[in-house]
Amino acid sequence: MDIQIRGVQKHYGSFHALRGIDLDIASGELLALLGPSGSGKTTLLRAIAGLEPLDGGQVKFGDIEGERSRFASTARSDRERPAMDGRAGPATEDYSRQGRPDYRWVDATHLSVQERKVGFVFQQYALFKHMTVLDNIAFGLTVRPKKERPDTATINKRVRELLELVQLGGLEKRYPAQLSGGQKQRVALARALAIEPRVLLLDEPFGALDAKVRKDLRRWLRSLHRETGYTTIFVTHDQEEALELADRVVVMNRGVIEQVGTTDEVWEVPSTPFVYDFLGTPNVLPARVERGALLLNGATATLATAGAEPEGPVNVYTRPNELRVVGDDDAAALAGKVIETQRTGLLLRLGVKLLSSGDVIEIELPHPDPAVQRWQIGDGIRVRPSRYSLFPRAVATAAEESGYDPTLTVTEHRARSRV
Amino acid sequence: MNHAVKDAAFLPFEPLKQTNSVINEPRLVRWLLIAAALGFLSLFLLLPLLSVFVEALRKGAGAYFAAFSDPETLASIKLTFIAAAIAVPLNLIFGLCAAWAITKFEFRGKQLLITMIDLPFSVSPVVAGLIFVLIFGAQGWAQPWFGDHLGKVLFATPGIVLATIFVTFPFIARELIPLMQEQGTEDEQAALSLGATGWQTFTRVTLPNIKWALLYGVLLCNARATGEFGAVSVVSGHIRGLTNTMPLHIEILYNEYQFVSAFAVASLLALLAMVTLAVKSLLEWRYADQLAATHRSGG
Repeated sequence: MDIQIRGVQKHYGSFHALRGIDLDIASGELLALLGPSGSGKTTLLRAIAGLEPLDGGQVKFGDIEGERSRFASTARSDRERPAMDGRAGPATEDYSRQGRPDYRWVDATHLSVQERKVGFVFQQYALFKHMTVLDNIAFGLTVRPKKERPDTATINKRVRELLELVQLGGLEKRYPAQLSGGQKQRVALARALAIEPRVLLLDEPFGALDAKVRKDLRRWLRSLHRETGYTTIFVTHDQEEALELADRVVVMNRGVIEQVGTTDEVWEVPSTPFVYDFLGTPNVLPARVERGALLLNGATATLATAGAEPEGPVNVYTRPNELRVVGDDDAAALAGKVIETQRTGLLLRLGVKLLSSGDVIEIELPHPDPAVQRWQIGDGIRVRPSRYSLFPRAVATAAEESGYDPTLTVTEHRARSRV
Repeated sequence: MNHAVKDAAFLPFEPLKQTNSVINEPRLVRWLLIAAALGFLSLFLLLPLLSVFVEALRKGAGAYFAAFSDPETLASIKLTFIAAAIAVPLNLIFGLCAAWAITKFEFRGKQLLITMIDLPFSVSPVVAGLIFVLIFGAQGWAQPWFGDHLGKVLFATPGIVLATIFVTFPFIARELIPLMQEQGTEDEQAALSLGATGWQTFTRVTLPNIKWALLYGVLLCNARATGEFGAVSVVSGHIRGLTNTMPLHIEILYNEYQFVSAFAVASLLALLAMVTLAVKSLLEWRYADQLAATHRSGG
């Protein structure tokens, strides 16, 4: 099922949890809502599920009529194609599907959670403690009105299939208290799948698990998605998890979407300082653009010609692995002194204090083989960013209506701390 | 009943008894502590309880059972059970509603409601009785209307029932609120998202989650309803065979020096209390694993 979200607003008292969210989700895709706590990602997920009444905006479900007859007949339908704006389109854009004459968009904004028929997996699983695994998974089927309810044999068969699917065959008689965290997670998933949901919504699906189980489950969920093809949306605060699992990532911060894109796009071309900061630990260098040239604060040489950048103070964002060590002949390079070396597996991390400004930056290099020069503390070094992004600093302070923006304070603070 | 769970539940009893050297006090200290606890318990709980039965059986079993053949005694027993039979179910419904409202919704005046539920605990039962005298008494503001339409309230069964409801008001709600607060609403949300109706969610998810607390609440509520003296005494009017509950009847018998009868009825009350305790312990023992499972968070 396709989902179209337009101008969604949500307040909790004075806290503005969602500030006008627009988002298109394509049928069959695996989407991550990524952000720090308080960014509104869980609220958005719950809004899609119908667990959170909205203060404004619209949620629409698009489906082929007849596939979900009960749903289509009870709700008002209006036909329109989703407006795909300039942002990266869904990974599995399926226009032939939406072009079918029996394709309908339905306004789900005022549908109850029951009517939406979504599969929601809670962070703490919310398994019914007094029911066996079998009864838990069968719950969604046994509560159906009598004429829609499958008979017991059919239900049992379906539950067994689901148990096989989540690789928990033979555990149907157990109670939730007798299961491990990962097993509970999979029971919760099977329970959500039992109702054949239109969309699968997972709230921090691996949040309560330890690292090893988390890795396994992640891989397993990916293959489950490939097998079943359910439109799946999951919430996470772990960028690694989002990048590894999802087709597309929605990066959220303080109730707004910072960036939507494929995992490659958000990693390679972060569109805001926040996304840069949240995905990895970039170096932030205060600089300015003067007459088309980019000058780092305290430096005399031009780092680069700035191109179309507007004049004024900017921050240069560059990741530790995007800095290259260069020779003495490169006039634009940043000269510095190694003040820290640390090896982590195949990576060598260097802390470099820039001579020009005194800023400390971090560089990541592939760990050298013995033939290559080893860096020692106190060594002189010249580096140059192979990739970087510029974000104007003045805009940053004026951007927030409330006047307080923790993310920007972080960058400002970081910049200050290095001066 | 699963063996793994059962074993786990009983495991802690073994090592804690002797082998934990950190909490191992000298033998004398241990002995003194146990003796003090047991001594206190016997002196202030067991001895009085025992004396009730001793006094009741002082003139033999014949006199004891004869006490129960008195029609006034039988009437008092009947009235006590009628009052409890009305008060407990009403408080059960109210307790459920109040606990549900307080733990599952946010609304203005919630704190006030919680405080109000506790009111019967903090107000003296005599005052509680007086409230009803002021409302339904000869000069009471509600009496003219009630007297015309529904008959007598004060010095009659309705008054006794009202007073009983008032004093036993908090028991079930108080038992449920902390548990339901701890459990939150995720289970209910899950049930709803799976397509269950509100009623299905309540009967199949909420109720099983709280059934033990609910049962304790009912037992405690019942114990108090049958044993209530102060509030009922004020509204009853002590009309023999009509408005005397068991505790009131005991007092009258005692004041008339009918010690055997007084203690016989008292022994019945004490017996009721002990049965309540026994049932509670039995349930705890029988369903220990289920109880543990309901209280385990995140399960």
